[in-house]
Amino acid sequence: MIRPFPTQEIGSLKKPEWLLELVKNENISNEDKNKARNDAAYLNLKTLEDIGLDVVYDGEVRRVEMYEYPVRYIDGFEFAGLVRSWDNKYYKKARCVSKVTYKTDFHLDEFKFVKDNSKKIVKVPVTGPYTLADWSYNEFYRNKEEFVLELARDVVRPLIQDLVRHGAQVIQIDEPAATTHPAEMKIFADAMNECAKGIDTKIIIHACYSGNEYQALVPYMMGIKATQFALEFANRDSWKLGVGDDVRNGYSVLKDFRKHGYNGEIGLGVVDVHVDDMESVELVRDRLLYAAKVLGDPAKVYANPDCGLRTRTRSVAFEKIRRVVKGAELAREALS
Amino acid sequence: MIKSFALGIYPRSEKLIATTRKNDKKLPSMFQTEKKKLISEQQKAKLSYVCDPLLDWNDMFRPFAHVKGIMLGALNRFFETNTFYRKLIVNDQLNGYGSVVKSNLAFSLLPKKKDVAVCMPDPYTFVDLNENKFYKNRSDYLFAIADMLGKEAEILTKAKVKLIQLNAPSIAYNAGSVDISLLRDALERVKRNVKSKVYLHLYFGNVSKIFSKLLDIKIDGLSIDLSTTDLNSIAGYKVDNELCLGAVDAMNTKMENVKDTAKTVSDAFDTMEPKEAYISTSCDLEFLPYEFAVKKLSKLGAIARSVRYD
Repeated sequence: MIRPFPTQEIGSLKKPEWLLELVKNENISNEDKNKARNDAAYLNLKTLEDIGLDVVYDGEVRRVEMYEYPVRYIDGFEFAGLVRSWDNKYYKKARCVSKVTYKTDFHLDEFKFVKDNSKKIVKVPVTGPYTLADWSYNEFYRNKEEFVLELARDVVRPLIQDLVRHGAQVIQIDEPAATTHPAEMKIFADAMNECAKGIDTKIIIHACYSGNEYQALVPYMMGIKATQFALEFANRDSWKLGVGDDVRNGYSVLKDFRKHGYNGEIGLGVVDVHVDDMESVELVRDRLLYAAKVLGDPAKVYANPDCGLRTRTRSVAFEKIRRVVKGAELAREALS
Repeated sequence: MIKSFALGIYPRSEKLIATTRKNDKKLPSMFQTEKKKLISEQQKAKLSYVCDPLLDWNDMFRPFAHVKGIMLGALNRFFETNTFYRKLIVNDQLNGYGSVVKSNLAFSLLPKKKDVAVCMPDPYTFVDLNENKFYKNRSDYLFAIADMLGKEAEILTKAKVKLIQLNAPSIAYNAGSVDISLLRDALERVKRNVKSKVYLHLYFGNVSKIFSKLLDIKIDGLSIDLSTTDLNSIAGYKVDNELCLGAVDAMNTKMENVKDTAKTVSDAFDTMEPKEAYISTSCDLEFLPYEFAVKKLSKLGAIARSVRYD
């Protein structure tokens, strides 16, 4: 029996300064750099376990970034250069210039390390096909649908299959671009089902910050073969305590999930990853209790941060996660 | 040959990006140097109008954050792109405007013998993407913004700017729900005292269903992004004013075939018979990495030289 309000993280944590310095140092061998990455992964993993999360990973400590890292390992892409995200923040954007092909399981080593060193449930984050396509220039495929579905079928699904073959029990498909283009939701839904086809493991879809507060996603949720949708909410919610509709305005779309018949799990973003201000554990509790009230089954409401915490300092990030765990405990107590 | 221009925010080079992250004292002079390079690329491409590449603009609204009555708000996604802008909040009577755009342009870097073009947001897009906490209704807010932009345009005319492009992605994106009558009033308010040419640049959406109504607005020309409006859907209209076709896709690195694009554009102009014909990029070049943006400029120039239109 699953206890109410299981806790999980979403993905990336800020890399320790010492690791960044060490990796940049040309006088240090690759072997030693890999040892350092193992140490950092171990440190993240044990910290998350000690805080008390039920589902863990390594803070994506070996990945340079969620888009650039996988693209490096997929045939068919070439990096074009830097494109602005905002102000002086830029990301490296690639062009798709030929058929996309899966070369190697680029997450296998990190997964094996986490699996060998963790006693908790391990969840492997994998960047989804829709986001990979949406954040790239398409110079090869006739249209976006063809591009996205081929990435799903020929890259992401084989990647997941390899991870499952090596023992992965939970896969999180990261799709921050999911609802960016409301008119393309069918492509997104079809791509998710292509990824999951023939896969016998728990699939979680994580979407965030792509606009329209998931209204575009709602009609498609029932048709997507995923056990859970892990979504951001906290950044839109008030900081007042309570479980009424008036104060939990950031979670109002949960009612639409219910109205459309969605009865799967929800990974509930209960802390905002873009501010250093700390949510109280009582606020986390109330957000969880509100979700349970709307959705019905508290065992299907997972507590997590809105997104990866890589934009926060490590001390802020771990404190936020600690509050997720403590808030979930309070919510369980309130139910009992 | 027809006329051409590429307005909007251009991408920064990797060297400039690195400098912006270091709080380096050399940054202001580096912005100037890098702007000069891109102005020189526009000239190399033989574009008819030159413009400031706006490398020091963080987004199209940011200069207006200095207007009295406006404050800077939170980050918001810019339409369906992966680029974000800071929303402005109008919280008081607008005041102290007129030279906001002009003072944020490097006129001294622009060649004296070339015609200069400038872009700024259109009033509808400004209102749509920013927040009003002061004006009591949408039309008051829209007209206040239109008056502000009109004053900005007047000052630009005095600075000998020949063409002012009003960037209007919100009109194109929301084409199905735009109040055309209100829009017409706002745009004509901008144009009222402005002698420079005023163009409305429609991108990020299909405008075919409102194209005929847009043609009736008393401004000098329309500019249409051909990556989101199918040329065939508007090619049947006769255009009495000037027309610019955004034939070079600034959202994709794939390079246009000069001959094919020139033929498509020539055929369209032959049918539509605008008073004057131009081509441009589909939107700002900032959505491309630097090297690709420069290549697109060159393509734009080459296509413009290959188009036949009398």
